[in-house]
Amino acid sequence: MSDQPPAATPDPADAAQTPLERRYRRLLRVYPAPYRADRADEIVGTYLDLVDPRRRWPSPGDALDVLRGGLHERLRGYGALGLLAALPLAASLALHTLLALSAFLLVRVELATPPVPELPTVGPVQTLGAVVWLGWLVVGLSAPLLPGRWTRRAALAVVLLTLALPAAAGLTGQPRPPLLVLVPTTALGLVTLALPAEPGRLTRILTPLAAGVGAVASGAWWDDADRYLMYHSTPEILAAAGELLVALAVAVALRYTVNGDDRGLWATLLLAVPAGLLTVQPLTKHLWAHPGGSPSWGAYAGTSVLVVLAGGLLLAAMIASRAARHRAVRRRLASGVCPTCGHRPVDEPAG
Amino acid sequence: MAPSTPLREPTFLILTALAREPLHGYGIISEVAALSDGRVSLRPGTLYGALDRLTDDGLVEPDHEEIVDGRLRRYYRLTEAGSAALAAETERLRRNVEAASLRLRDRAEKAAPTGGPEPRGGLVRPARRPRIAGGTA
Repeated sequence: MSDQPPAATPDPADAAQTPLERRYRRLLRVYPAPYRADRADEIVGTYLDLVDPRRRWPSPGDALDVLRGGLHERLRGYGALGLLAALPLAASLALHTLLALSAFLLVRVELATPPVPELPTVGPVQTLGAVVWLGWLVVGLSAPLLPGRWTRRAALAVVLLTLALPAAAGLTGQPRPPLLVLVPTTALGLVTLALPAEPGRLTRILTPLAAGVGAVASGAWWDDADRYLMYHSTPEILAAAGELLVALAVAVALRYTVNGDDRGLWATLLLAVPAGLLTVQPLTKHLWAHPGGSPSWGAYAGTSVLVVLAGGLLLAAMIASRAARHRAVRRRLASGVCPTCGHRPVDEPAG
Repeated sequence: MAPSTPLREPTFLILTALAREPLHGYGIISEVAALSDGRVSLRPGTLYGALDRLTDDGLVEPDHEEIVDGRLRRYYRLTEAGSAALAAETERLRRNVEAASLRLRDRAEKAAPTGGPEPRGGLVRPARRPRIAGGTA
């Protein structure tokens, strides 16, 4: 008899799995463990029923579907499904903020003659950013007319274009908008990827409103005709857009809350980070103020990180509060107490 | 509990798929695709999220399980409440279709040349489009 411990033998169930099945099971770890224990076999079986058996890896679409399903199940467990229901609302508000901002930046900045003649330009516009603003104008103005999936695809294309802009500018040597403009617009663009399948009433109301705000703001009837003709002179316009976005989200949230619907509240929280990123320049000057000089890039980056952390914490706190309430309701239900009024029914006498 | 708001199209199709007999996940996905002429293509993650919600609402419930080729198949069936919700939604859609069909027939009759005097413009109100909920399940 050997003293050595027996070699670990593979679980026959694992050995019988194909690489594809193992990969689907690995993906399913995004679901909560108790749900997985009960449903994994069934869900994986359905994926395997649907795919070509010669396939070795789950498709990107299936991977995204598993991630979405896992997120849905986790939020359902926390009693926070309102977060998912709020995504289309947040996306509509983000898209129309982008529409107004793009109208302003394209007309007022990109198409204007720069006040400093030595600055390089890209043909008739100041920077490569004109393509991005034109893209958002097209996406925003066509949103009420097109199915949501087309608008989402177009929005994704503009987001990717924005992300590629710094590299394109570096490679071609052409000017681009500063990161303090590109980062918040990218954050808003990411929120628009959750646009609803069909354009709703809010989209139909907000499209002319946003276009009107952008047109008025970019109009030539400023008192000082030389203001806001360059990106570096527009921080207050970006901050105003951020404040307007929050004010609009709060107004919509109040409207929804009157009807006992918390979607508006979730949408406001989802938009807190993009709105905060729009105000990074004045916020940095306020937080890291030092006499006789503008803040460093490190200070701007630090403020941006703080904004993202604060927005994430707000969202996490809201989910935690919903989870605590959800647990309390389930405990009360399990103990037979009415979760609303606390009434405990008296047992009926036997016979 | 039957929902008071119109059902979204994927939810309507899932309940319709289960109306005839209990089905497992793959069966529901295939049936929904067939019912919608391939327009609505559910993925498993979306389907099971919808089934969980419908189970919570009491419209659907698990029926039985079986193992086929080493894969677990759990069948779902429509409950009485689910059947009532589907019937109510079908009736709502039927009324919308009837109203739209009637208006379209009137419009076609008015547009057809009758030899009589032309109808006076501006007196006929256009038919309102029936509102059919869409979106994800």
